[in-house]
This record gives sequence, structure tokens and C-alpha cells, in this order.
Amino acid sequence: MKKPLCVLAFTVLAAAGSLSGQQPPVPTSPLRPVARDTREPNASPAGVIRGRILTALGRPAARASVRIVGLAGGEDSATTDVDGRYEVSGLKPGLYRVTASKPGFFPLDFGQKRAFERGTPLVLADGQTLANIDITLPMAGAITGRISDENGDPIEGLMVMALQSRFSGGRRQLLPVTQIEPRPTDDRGMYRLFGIPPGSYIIIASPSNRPLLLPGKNHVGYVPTYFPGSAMPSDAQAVTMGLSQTITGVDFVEVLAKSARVSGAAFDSNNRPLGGTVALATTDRWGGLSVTMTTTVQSDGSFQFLRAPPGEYAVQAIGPRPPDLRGEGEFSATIISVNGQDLDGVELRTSAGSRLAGRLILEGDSRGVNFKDAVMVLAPMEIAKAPANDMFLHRWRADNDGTFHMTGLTGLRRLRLLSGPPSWTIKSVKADGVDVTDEVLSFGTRAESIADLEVVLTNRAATLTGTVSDDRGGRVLDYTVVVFAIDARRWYPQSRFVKFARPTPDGTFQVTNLPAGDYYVAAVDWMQGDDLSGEWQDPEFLETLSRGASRISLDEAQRAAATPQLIVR
Amino acid sequence: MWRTAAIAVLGAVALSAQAPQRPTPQSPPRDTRPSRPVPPAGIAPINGVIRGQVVTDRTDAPVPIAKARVAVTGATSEVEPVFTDSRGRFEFSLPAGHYTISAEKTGFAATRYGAATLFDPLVPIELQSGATEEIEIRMPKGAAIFGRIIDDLGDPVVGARVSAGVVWMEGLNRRFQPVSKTPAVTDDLGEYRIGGLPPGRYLLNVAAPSAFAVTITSFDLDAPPARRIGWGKTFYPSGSSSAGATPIDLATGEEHGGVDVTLVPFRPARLSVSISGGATPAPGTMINTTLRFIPASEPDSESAAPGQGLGFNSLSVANIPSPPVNIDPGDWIVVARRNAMAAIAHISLSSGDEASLVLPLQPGARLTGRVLFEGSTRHPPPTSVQIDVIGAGPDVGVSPLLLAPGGPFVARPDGTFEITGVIGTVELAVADPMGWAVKNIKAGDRDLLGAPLAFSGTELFEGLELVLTDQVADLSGSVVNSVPGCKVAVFPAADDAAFNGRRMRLTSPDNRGQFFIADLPPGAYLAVARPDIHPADWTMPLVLNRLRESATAFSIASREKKTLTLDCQSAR
Repeated sequence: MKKPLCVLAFTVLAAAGSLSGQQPPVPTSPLRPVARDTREPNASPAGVIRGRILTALGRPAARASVRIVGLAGGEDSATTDVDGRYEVSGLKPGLYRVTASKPGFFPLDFGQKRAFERGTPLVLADGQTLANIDITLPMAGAITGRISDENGDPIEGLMVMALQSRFSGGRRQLLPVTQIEPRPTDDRGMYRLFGIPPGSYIIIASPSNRPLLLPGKNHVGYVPTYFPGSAMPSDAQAVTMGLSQTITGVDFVEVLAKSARVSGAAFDSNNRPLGGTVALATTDRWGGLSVTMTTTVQSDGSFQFLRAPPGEYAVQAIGPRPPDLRGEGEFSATIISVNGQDLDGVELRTSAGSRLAGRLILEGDSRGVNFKDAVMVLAPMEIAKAPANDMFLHRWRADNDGTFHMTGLTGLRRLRLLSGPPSWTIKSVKADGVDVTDEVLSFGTRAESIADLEVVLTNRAATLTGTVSDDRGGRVLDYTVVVFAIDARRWYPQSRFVKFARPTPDGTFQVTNLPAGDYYVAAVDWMQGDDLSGEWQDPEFLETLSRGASRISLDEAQRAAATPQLIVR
Repeated sequence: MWRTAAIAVLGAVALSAQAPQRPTPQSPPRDTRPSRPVPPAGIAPINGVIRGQVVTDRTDAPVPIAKARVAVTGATSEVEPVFTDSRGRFEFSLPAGHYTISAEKTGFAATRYGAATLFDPLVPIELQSGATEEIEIRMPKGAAIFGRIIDDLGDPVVGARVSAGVVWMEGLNRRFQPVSKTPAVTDDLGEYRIGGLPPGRYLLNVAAPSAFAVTITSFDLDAPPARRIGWGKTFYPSGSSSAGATPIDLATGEEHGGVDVTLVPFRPARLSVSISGGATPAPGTMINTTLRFIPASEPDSESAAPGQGLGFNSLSVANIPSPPVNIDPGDWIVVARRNAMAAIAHISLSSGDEASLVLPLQPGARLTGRVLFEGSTRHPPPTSVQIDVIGAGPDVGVSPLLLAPGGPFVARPDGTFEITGVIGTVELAVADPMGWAVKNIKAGDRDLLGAPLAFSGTELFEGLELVLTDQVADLSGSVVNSVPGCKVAVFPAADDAAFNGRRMRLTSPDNRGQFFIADLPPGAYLAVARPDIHPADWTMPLVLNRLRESATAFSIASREKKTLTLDCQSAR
């Protein structure tokens, strides 16, 4: 195809001779697409990754999407041809992860062995060609069923979703699984959820935008129903999916329930109508809390929820954040039980909460480190006494002089370093001179205010490196290692004493930022989770691991080594 | 992914404005405005009752349908829908007025009282104070169309969006109108199912999954087009135009399976656009030219958007061809704007085409005139009159920001107005100020209101008269021997009548056989009442000619309140 001669002079740059003499006159214009982020400015990277994607049915996966993500940044993609083959070239040296996906199949990393895990990164040397990076995509699982009313007649237009119990944000919650698209029931009441990875799922069917109501003062209507047929999350039964399974007959009857009105008034600590919101939050069997409905408090202080389905709720009133945004809004909560009868007269009076002032101290070599590099939060430890919605929690950085202050704190909280300068970790926390490191702090009243919270960060944390062997002494290259304190009181959510790591391609692991202390070291063949949430947060999981773990004592800034033996789950 | 980078580099400007909504087929343009009965002064209005029964649509032995959801529209405050009891009965207590009733239940086709087909106009029920209206709603069992969508390699297409619908004609302009706003989406097996359909004739349209329905265009000098694959909209059994599509006839409750479609991928076409006209820019100056590519014709219910666009700066001498643009096959509207000049072109591209387009910039059509108020009551200030220029005909759905960026145009205090910079095929729309109605927009002896006008951008219309009147001409009357599904059609008597939304009206008589058409422009018309008029295509010249044979002639003068009596059966 004839390349069009671009006579158009696009920018001044084109005329400025930025082209080297040897190359053909190609205009450098802002119209040229930036081809690849992985391209070095002055080098000509020649790394190649290629391979073939197949489906578990043995057929080539044509038109599959292959993503090559550089662990140092940069991303490239390709589409497989009719034979399932792909090739990506022009890559600079580094570590890469290769993921293939095709609708209808389960997306898989190269080297991935378990669901919800990441695969093995590839090491690409300068100018190297990595061939045969092949991936076989398993068929994703599917769940089908029929949803009917109490007479057995089908109900069309209910949205069916798959939820999973996950440890997230410090507690277990029932969360929708993002990979599984919600699907509506059709005119026969039938649905099909697909693209389901192996695991356990809670199936829920919800009436979508038009609730189906029957006449009467207290509306009877369909409410979100969990398989096998209850409106209560605590009655939900999980459906367990293996690899590439189709589970049929997940049928249930949509619950018809009398929803009720919940109303009352919310006032702030100055006895004025609360200028904020009231939320109905509901607990699930795993102790998690999720917000079902929210409403705004009216100017006279009144609020109401129409059509609250039956259940037990925490009614939470949250006021606006202070004008300087240093702190949280006033808060109050109460537990109610709704069962078809209107519940009026729910009174909530928010309290101003406690104040807190403190300072950040950086111990050790703090050159190049700024106070502002640390983001802190007082994470709630008791669910019903703190806002169910994470959005209302105050996250802060210290000022330039290292100090910070805030108001409006309520509930039981533990100080957590959300993100900090790399390799810095909490060494100690003192509240008005008393050591409260890793302790839960109680807030709510003025008396519980803290005038001086001294937070000491240190970069003299311990590091643990090592390899993992199997029961025959051979090297294991694919595992997850979990390092966690022997003291079970330190297994709280997002604890600094619980860390995990995955191996590099040569099979070694490195766990950094460990405070001094006594630890278990355990290596498992697989574990569900990522940096934010996962099984590693679950005390029950850690308890199981502790039985097969080895032990180690770490001092400040120690560089220790370990070779745990693989635990096969 | 790198294409997104390319577009970011080019500094794409995304238009957030939406074209004004076209009327959905359920509501005919400029719906009837029946007057509400005013209760005598001093007497508190009493509610009336609309009640009835929902039954299956079987002539021999209709069976009552329990737990059908019945909704009423037309009330001033929201009325909660009710469910029929075990005898299929329902009841509403409502103030006097005009209402429409609809019923739905899973497994049946949603039905509106009095409507025979899906797109029939609503049949209003006139309810008087203290009266009781008893109606029957016949719901047919829902029919279903189902099948499998695969690609040319035999693999299932996951996430394809499938819609059943009819082709809607406005004069000679065709557009595919889906039955439902939400398409059925294929699952991992490529299977889809569209249920709850009333009996009738349908076309099936398949749009590719959103990941593959890329209509992004890009300046791309050397990326091979084969790198991108995509699927255009396909009609069952194959092909991209509704004109060649095979219709599917559904009987009541029929399960019509095997409606499979194979999506054949296309290769992008490459289009070179060159812009001519306009002042030659001085060397070293930057000129902002925007090029917009808008998918034309047969839009589905999602694509009222003005389309994606690319902007680029150029130092250019204006007449050089641009680098070729990778663009999906299909029908496109291309709009170029540079300063106050603009050009529009329409092009049809097939898979792998190499094409070029010349866009001659024009200043845009200019229309000037004045606002006249005809009437005895005090008229609002001319500044309350706002003229919108909206896309029509082949350019329907194109944003007014592209066709007439200076709009909407408001009349000046002295009553004059000026519409500038118009290109493409447009309609002039004027919102009626309170108590007044637009009678016509006169350009000589031509009425521009409601008529599609094609502008190349050089036209000048002076001396327009936008006439507002406080007395409109209405047509009302009654239909005798009315049968279910009877509709009243009114259209100009002139043989060559091009499509005009104000002068071609379709309405249903209410439960008493009364009909009302408000605000009919003066002229000579024909009126006919028949049950076999299809809302989707009745304005086609062929259909109008057939209707002429059994129509009644009448003429209506300005401010006249005309009445007619039409016989539905004898029109057979």
C-alpha cells in the first residue's frame, strides 16, 4: 500500500531537524500515535514474547486478547490470530506478566495455577526472544436456574448476581464478584451466570428499577433474595463451583415481603437538625456491614426510609465533615429490627466525638523522606459503631512540621499506616505518654480525646528472604509465603505483623518491613488475595497455617533467611 | 491501547451535548392535547373509576389473568400500579381526565389498552367526574425469538447485543426501531432470547459486543488495518442493511428458535478527508479544524449521541488531504468546522474500502425574519421565542452543535431573528410560549415548519415570518363502527406531499370513539379511519396513495375548530 506522502507540516518541531540524517523523512508530528510505552527513547529494544493460546477444548483460541504488563510499568497487547498465535516485539528488558483472555473462558496468566492468583512473571533479557509462552484457557463455569414467585410462575427482569465473602477493608463482607456480570431473568424466569472462576458463591436476585408492588398501605413487594430463598444474608447458602463446571437447577422463589417505613429524627450535638445523612446498614453472617439504603436528613431533622425490607439494621447518622476537613462528621448509630411493621420515632443524636492531636517522628536515616509521605487512618475495629461507608473515614497526612490534628472521632479504632515512604513502618504509638502501640483506642467522648499522639516511624525494619522446599527437599518455585506474628493478638485486620509475598521467577522470596518480634513463617501452594484483601487477613486461616509453620525471631533491621517447607492445602 | 494514546495526543474534544430526543414511536409527533373537562365552579370534583379485567387474547374463551401489573398514565400525581386479583380484575379511583392503561405480566406481551400493535398510538380513556368506565385489556401470550450468534470461525460471540424491532419510515427515510430499550445480550454460549413479544412481524438486529464495536477513528499511518477486527451491525440473517433483512413472523405465544446470525468481521476502511474553501491561513498560524465522524442511519436506541470526534491543529495550507483515517465500514456523516465555516458530507463505506472525501467549507445557511403574533390576547415578548435547529432526514440525530452551533436562536426584542451557520438537513423547531402555538414559518408561500430542509451552507432566506397564534385550528370528531385498533390518519391532499410531521398525523379514537388532533396547519387534507394502518410506515408515499382511495377530503382554515365523522369499517 502506498504510504501517503505527508506534505502537511504539522508542527514547528518537524522543521527543526529533530530527525537524524540517516532516516527517511518521517514527520514527527503530534498525530503520530505513541506506539508503546515500553520503548526506550534512544535504544531500539528488541525483546520478543510470543506463544500460542489454546482453549481447554483443545481448539486454538482465535481472536483472544493477550496483555503483556511490564512490572516496572508499561503495557502492550496483542490479539491472537486464527491459530491462536500471538507475538509482541519491541520490548525492553524487564519483568513481564502475560495474561490471555477470551470471552466465555477464564482469563489466565502465564504460570497461574489457581483462581484469583497472579501467575509467574517472565524475565526478559535485552533483545531476548521468549517463545512458547503458551496458555490454555479453561472454560469458565456457569450457574443456571429459574426464579419464580410463590405460585411457581416465572418472574422476568430480576437481576441475578454472584457475591463472595471477602476480607476487605479490615472485615469480612459480601461483595459482588467483578468478573461475573449480573444477568437478568428472562420471560421464563431463567438466568445464566457465566465466566465464573472456581470458588464459592452466594447467588442473589434483586428486583431492578421497577419494584413489583401489591396494593395496600404496607407495600408487599419482592425483595432481594439469596439462594436458596431467603431475604436474610445469614440464611444464604454458597454454591461451590469447580473448574469449568456448569451448575444447573439453582432455582429459588423470590421472597415477597412486607416492607415497612423506618422514620425518625436526627439531631447533632448542639440539638440542631443534623445536616447529614442517615444510612441503613445490614450485617451478614460473616460480621461484615454493608449499606442498604441512605437518605438525607430534612431541614427539620426528620428522615425516612420507605419500603425497608425485613431484617436487622444498624441505623447510622453521619454529619458533615468539619469545614477544614480535618476529621470526621458527627456520628451516632443504633440497631433496629424491621419486620413489616412501620417503625417510626427512631431518634438519633450524634456526638461531637473526640479530638486528637499528634505528631509524627521519623527515627533513623530520614534523608529524602518527607512527613507528607505517610498516610494514616484510624481504622474502625468495631463494626456498628463507625461509619459503614469507608468514604466517611478520615485519612490524613501530617503537616510540614510533622503535626496533625482532627475532630469527630467515634468508636474503637486502631492507628494504621495506609501508605508510607517505602520500607518505613510503625515502631511505636504513645497516647499522652502511654504506650498504645498496636492497641485499640476508644473514642467518642471529650474525655477520650488525645492531646498528644506520638507516632514513631522507623525504617529499621527486618527483612526475611529465602526459598521454599517440598517434603522431598526439592526446590519449589510457585508458592505464597506468609509471615505472621506468633502472638495471635497481633492478627488484627491490616496488622503490620502479617505480611505475605510471592516468589520471583527463580523461586526466592523477600518479605520486608517486618517489625521486631517473633514470627511464624509458612509457605502454601496457593492463597486467595491481593495487597488489599484476602485470606491472609483471616485469623482462622492464620491459625491453620500456624500448625505447619516454622518460627523465627527478628530484631530491628535484621536481615534474616528462612527455608520453610511447603504446606499443600 | 495505544490508539487511545493516539487520540489523547490529538487532543480529542468529546462533545457532551445530546441531540434532542426524537419522539419514540409510542408517542406520535405533537401528540393530541385533549382539553380537560372543567368542573362547574363551586363544586368539589368527585373521582371517577376506571376498572376492568385483564384477560388472555383468545377470541373463543378468554381466561382472566391474575397478578398482572396494571399501570395508569395521565394523572397529575403519580398513581401506584395495581395487580389484578384472582379474577383478573383491577380498579383505579381517579379524578376526571384522560388516561391510558397498560398491563404487563411475565410470560405475556405488555399491552396498552386499545392498541393492537406495539407501536400504535395510545388510546385515551376519557373519565368524567363520578363516572365509571369499564374496560377489557386483552394480553396475548408472549412470543419469543431465540438463537445463537457466532463469528466466522464458529466461535460463540459473547456479549453481542440483539434487538427485535421494526423499520420505521418517515417519508422515505428508514430507521430501525427496536422494541425494547435494552437489547438481549448473548451469554458465553452465544445464545440470546427475546421474550414477551406480541404477535407481529419483526426484524432482528445484532450489534457487536462493546469491546468490538469500535467506531473510533484514528490517524494511523502505518498500523496495518488487519490488527483490528470488528463486527458491524448485522441484520438477520446477514447483511448490514434492514432493507435486505428477512422478517420473522410471530404468532401469539410462538417460540421461534434457530434465529442464528453469523457475524462476519470487517476490515476498517481508510478515508482521506480534504477540506477546501475558507481563507488561506498565514504561514505560522495555528488553525483549529474539527472533524467529526457520526454513524448515520439505523441508529439503535443507544446512539443518539453526536458521535466521536477528533480535533487537530494544523499549520496547513488548507487544501491538502489529511492523513487517512481508519474508520469502520458503514454509513457516516462527516462534519468539518473551521472558525465560522462548515461542511457536511455523507459517505457509505464497505469493508476495506479506500476512499477520499472533499469537504468544501461554507459559511452556513442564513435565515432572517421576524416574529409575528396573530391574536387578540396580550402576547409575550419576542425574546421568549426560541428557535431550535435539529437534525432531520438523513441527518437526524446529529447534534445541533454541529449543524447550527450558534443556536438555539432567540428572537430580538424588536421581533427580528437571525439563524446563521446552518448546514445539513434540519428542521426548525419552536417551543410554544405559554398560551400560544406556532402556526407556521412562512418563506414566501412555503411553510418551513415541520418540514425537513436541506442546506448546503450557502443559502440565504430573508424575510421569513414566524407566526404565532393564540387560536389554533383543531380537528375533532368521532369514528363510527370503530373496531379495536382503529386509527385515524390525516395527511395533506396534495399528491406530492413530502414528509411533514405537523401535517401528517396519526391518532387513535378514545373509548367513546372520539378523536382530537390539535394544532393542524391550515390547508386541504384527507382523513381516513382504518384498523390496518401501521404507525411504522404509513407516511410512505406508497401507503398514502393507497389510503387516498378511501379517504374523506376536508379543508381547515386558520383558527377553525373542525369536526368530522369517519366510518372505520367502510374504509375496508
